[in-house]
Amino acid sequence: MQIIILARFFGYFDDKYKKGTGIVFSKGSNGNGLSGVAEVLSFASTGNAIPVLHEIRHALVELLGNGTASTIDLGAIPFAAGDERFLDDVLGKGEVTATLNVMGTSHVQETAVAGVWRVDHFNEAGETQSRFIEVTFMPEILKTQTEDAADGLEKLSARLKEEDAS
Amino acid sequence: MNNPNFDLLMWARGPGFNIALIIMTAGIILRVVEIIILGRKKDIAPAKGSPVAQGMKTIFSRSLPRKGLVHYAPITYIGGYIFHIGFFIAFFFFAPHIAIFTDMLGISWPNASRVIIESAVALSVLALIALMYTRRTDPVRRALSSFDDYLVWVLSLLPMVTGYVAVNKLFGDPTFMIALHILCVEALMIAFPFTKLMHAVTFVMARYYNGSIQGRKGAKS
Amino acid sequence: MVDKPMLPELLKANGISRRGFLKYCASLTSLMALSPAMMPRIAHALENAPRPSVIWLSFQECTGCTEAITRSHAPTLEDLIFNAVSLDYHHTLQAASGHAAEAAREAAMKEHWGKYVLVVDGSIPVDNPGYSCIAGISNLDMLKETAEGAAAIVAVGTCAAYGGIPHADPNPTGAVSVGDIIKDKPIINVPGCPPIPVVMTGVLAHFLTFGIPELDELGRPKAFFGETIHDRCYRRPFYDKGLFAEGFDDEGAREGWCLYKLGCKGPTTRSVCATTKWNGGTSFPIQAGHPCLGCTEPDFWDNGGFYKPLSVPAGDYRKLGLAAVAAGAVAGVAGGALARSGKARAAAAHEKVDAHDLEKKS
Repeated sequence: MQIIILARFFGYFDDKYKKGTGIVFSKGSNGNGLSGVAEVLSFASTGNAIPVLHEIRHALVELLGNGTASTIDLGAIPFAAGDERFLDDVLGKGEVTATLNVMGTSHVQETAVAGVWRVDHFNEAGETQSRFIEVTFMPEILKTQTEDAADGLEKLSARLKEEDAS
Repeated sequence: MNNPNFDLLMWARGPGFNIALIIMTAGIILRVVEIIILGRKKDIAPAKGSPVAQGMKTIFSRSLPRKGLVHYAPITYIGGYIFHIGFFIAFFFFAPHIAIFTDMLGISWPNASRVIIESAVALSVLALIALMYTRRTDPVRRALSSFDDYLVWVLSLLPMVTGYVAVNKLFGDPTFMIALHILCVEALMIAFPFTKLMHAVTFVMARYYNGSIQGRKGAKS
Repeated sequence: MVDKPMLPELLKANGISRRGFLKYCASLTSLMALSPAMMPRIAHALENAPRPSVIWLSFQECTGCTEAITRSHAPTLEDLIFNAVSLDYHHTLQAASGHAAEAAREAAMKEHWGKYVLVVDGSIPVDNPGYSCIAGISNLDMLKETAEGAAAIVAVGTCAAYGGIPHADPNPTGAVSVGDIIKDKPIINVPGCPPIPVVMTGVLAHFLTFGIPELDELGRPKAFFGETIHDRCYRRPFYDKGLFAEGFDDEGAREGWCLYKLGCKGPTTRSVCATTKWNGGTSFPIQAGHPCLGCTEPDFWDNGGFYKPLSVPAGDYRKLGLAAVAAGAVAGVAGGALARSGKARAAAAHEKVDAHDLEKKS
């Protein structure tokens, strides 16, 4: 199933992104100056998106086979804008999107390939801190942590005590 | 703190290159001038054809394959072509090499992609190995081979192997491999005027001479 | 000095949840270029990390490294890491000056003898140690004195790591690196001009959590200096295809082609510039259209010219080449003349011999 989806998108890649692999930028772009450069850059590709997608496929097999979740650090791979675009297009948008307000924001999103999640952390200034792909049934960061639940219990008890006192 | 690999690279790009350039340039000029001055006896017979035109033609025509030779010594024949063409492509069409000519002479020309360069190098290396094989196995060629032949073979092989390793980062520190590549080329440059490598310059003179003699006699060459 | 709280307590005091701590650990793992599988170990290490005292010494430097490491919006990852250490002396950042500042350094050294981390930026002049002094103490003396009680030394910036710009030819002050002077302490080199801020903090974080990272032959952490910029460059496909910018304003430059011919030192420079990038992952020099200068390598200032391609000879070889042409021509004329005269002599000495003579001789 996964293979069929990927293969379809690889076909798509062939048609639409061939330009992105290098040589004929200027013909495809009608922009000049900065907009032209931006368009060229948005197609620039290192060819690293496909190996990453294969790694994700492997991780999915592992997840279904013996339940092992895994994480891929996108910050450790040289990615150009074209790779990012390609990865997003292949994985697509899934059913779940969550925004976490914790030391800045974090975006957690299930992709259209169920079981594959994008986890992006930003700081207070909105700068990217780290970007991951998690292959899991449920990203750890979405779960309530034991320590936080304990804090919650404390907080609730304190509030109830206040209520009782008044 | 120093990086010995970087220091080696800078030596190769600096003093090493200067030494190699001086020896190669002075050596080539010396030998060419010597040959010209030595001259030839004047032919006082009236010319029956055009010596100059025939000489010029021969410089190029002798680059073309000769009939029949391929059956007689196929490996030498085909391997020789592959090596020379491959070496020529790798040397003159790899962008970092063109950059040297641009820096030196202010001229440049289009470069080839890595796929082409590396295929040319791989084929050249295979051709060199095949040529060495025939040199060692054929008793006549083996008897005719001198130290000079083996030295030139090694000196031609090393730049291609080290260059391939450096560009592909197959092993070793990348800075060291680039330095090693440049040093190998410098060894080739130094040996150039004093070995049979000199044919890369003198072939023009030799072919012209042979062609013009035949042209003068009104014969084909 | 008061014993400061551990990091998780600090986070809690700032109203940061356990989930926040997890996010922090995840980003820290990525920052330290470690595998995401290491995250639980990092969380554990951070929960139990001691908070070492840090003494930061600035010698022959431009303050660019300090500028870089402090260039961040509060409160960032970097700030949190700095909350995890106790920066006890840094003459650019501390409020105290003069004797009070030196007293703070001495007090920190005394209290944490054998346990503090020494960070150094800038090179040390040894031709005449008096070329660079702080509070009347030469850099050389201060380094030796402070290094003695340090658990480890982090040499930040190319000047401290390899001598850097002060060490550049002709090196008027006799500048050397920390590693040239101190031989008996572990030294982590974090070169760069300046180093990427998150690399500096990443190395410190690694030191706090797992101790001294794995280093290469030049004393650099392999996690950040393991690969060349060329290997991780997004313009690499253009190099492979043979598409190069020939100038800063030609078609190739506009299309973002490879900068090799403009002198890029990426193939011989090890750093994570191409992946970690600068200013919160915004860009790095090559992305901005400028060739890499190779600033994380020793002697980068003397690499034959920033705009000279790596393959091009670095010296002034043209005059030598012309001299060689002249010398070769002269020698060739002499050699040719010698050969001609030899030939003429041989012709003159030529004797006519017939069969009878030969028979007589034999």
